Amino acid sequence: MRDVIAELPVKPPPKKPERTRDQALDVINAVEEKGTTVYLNKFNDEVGLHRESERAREIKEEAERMVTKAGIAYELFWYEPGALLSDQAVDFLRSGRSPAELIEELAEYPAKAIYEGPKITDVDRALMKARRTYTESVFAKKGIKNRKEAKVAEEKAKEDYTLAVLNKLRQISGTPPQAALEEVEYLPQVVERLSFGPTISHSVEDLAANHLHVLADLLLREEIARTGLAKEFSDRGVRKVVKALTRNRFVRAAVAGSVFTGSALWFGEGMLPHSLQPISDIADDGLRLLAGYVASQELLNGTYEGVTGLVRKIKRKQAQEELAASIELTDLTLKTAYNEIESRPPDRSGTDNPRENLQRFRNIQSDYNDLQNAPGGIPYKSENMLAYCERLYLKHMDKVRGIMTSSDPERAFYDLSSLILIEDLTTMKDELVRGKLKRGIFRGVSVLTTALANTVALKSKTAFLESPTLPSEVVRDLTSSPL
Amino acid sequence: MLNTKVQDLPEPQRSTIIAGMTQLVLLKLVEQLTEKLSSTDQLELEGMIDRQASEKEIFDFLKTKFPDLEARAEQIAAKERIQLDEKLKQLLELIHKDQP
Repeated sequence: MRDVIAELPVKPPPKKPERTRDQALDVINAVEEKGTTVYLNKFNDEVGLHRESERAREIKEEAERMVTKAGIAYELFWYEPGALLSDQAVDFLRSGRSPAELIEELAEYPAKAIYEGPKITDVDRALMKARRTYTESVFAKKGIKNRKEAKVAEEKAKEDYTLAVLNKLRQISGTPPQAALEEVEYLPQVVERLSFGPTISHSVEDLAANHLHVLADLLLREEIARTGLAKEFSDRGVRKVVKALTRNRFVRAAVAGSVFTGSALWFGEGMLPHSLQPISDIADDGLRLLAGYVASQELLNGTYEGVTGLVRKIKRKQAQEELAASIELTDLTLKTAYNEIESRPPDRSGTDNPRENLQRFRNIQSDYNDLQNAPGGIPYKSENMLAYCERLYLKHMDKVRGIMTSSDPERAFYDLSSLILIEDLTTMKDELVRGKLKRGIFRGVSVLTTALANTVALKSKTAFLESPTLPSEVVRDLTSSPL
Repeated sequence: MLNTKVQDLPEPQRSTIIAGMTQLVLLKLVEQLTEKLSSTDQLELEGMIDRQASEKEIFDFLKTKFPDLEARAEQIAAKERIQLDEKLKQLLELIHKDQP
């Protein structure tokens, strides 16, 4: 048989111009940098997180090979007569390939090695759309005429968004464990346990380390995504306020009276605060909690952060202490913060020593830091995760336990998920919309501050405030400056 | 029973307590007014906030809606007073503990 292909007038491909030594060095450096990062990330996944998948192993091994080849290329390009070559370089030369070919192979690697993240599915697309529609509806200007219609539209958007989040949760639960890391970026061992089959019974520890871990993680990621959208939709006036809030200390003082100046914290840290509470609560608790902070300069300055921020911080601390006082609650918190697999090391469980438990809560952040840049890493702070745990195990513990005793545990889990998400959305709306109104009202009533301070101080019957006259400097003019 | 007088307290604490308590009473007032403002008034106020109205303007606006504004503030302070005293006693106990 004739070899037809061999007889065809095949034109050889044009020869690529060879790279200069400097260009070759750039390629080598890029491969070493990219390859090392990819290798370490995958190593971290596999060893640090016990994440194993065929694809992850392939990516890691390819990175290792490419870094080795970059080393060979370096040796060959900068070879000095008489110097000894490494075994790998000698093997390479024996293979008959040229250093220039090797450089071309290396040049293609950095682009190939970019981690593309999990696949975007229809569920993700629907979630993105619902999230955007809802966030936009919160920011929509509601005039007098269209107020009713706008409210209906907002409620509908909220409902659609809640369903889209629950669908995402269902998608995660339904992913085959072997594909979990690639498709939804959760550990196979965690996803495996999310099922609510009729024969499966879950302990509260199981729920904490798997279902509630995934729930809190997903909702925290959602919050970050909403925060990004909120920035986009916020009107120019809000932007102006936020810009001022983040840059100007005096303006921060001006919004001192608003309970919801969490926006400063929000834009500062890229997250919405979680445990906002009605002013009445803050005022009641605040008086009690002020005790520990009498020397706070922030309070003396009359800043909003000095009052509500401080009270919130103390309340958060108290909640963590409450969790840390119980072995069981600490254990559940750590399981939720880490997950089934990552909570296995002995220093990631509850002890009978509350101080040690608090230290273990503090350790979470440093563990999260190691994961920041890894695929599927943690984009939020441990404080935010702990805030979810406080809500789950202090506020909604009956509902968590209710999942185990319910005749339909799956439904009970989704009901709890929906409840937590709606709480988040209510907080966000309060923060973004009512917060603006409250800041405005505070600016108005702050005119009364000095007079009120005298009233509060002079009419108090407590011994130390019965002094004849308070020096004028005691009651500062706390009137805020204009925004 | 404590017999602490104001002069016994080191200065940052005394001023801080008064400032803090005042702010807390103000916060309650803000909450109360926000709840009681009608939708139309809320819209009007939002418009004022957007155009960077001065404090005086906002105060005057609130005064037209709540002519008893100062009385409300006083009332909140009075309502809270017993509780404030109780808390202040606790506060003093803590301060005493911290003082050498």
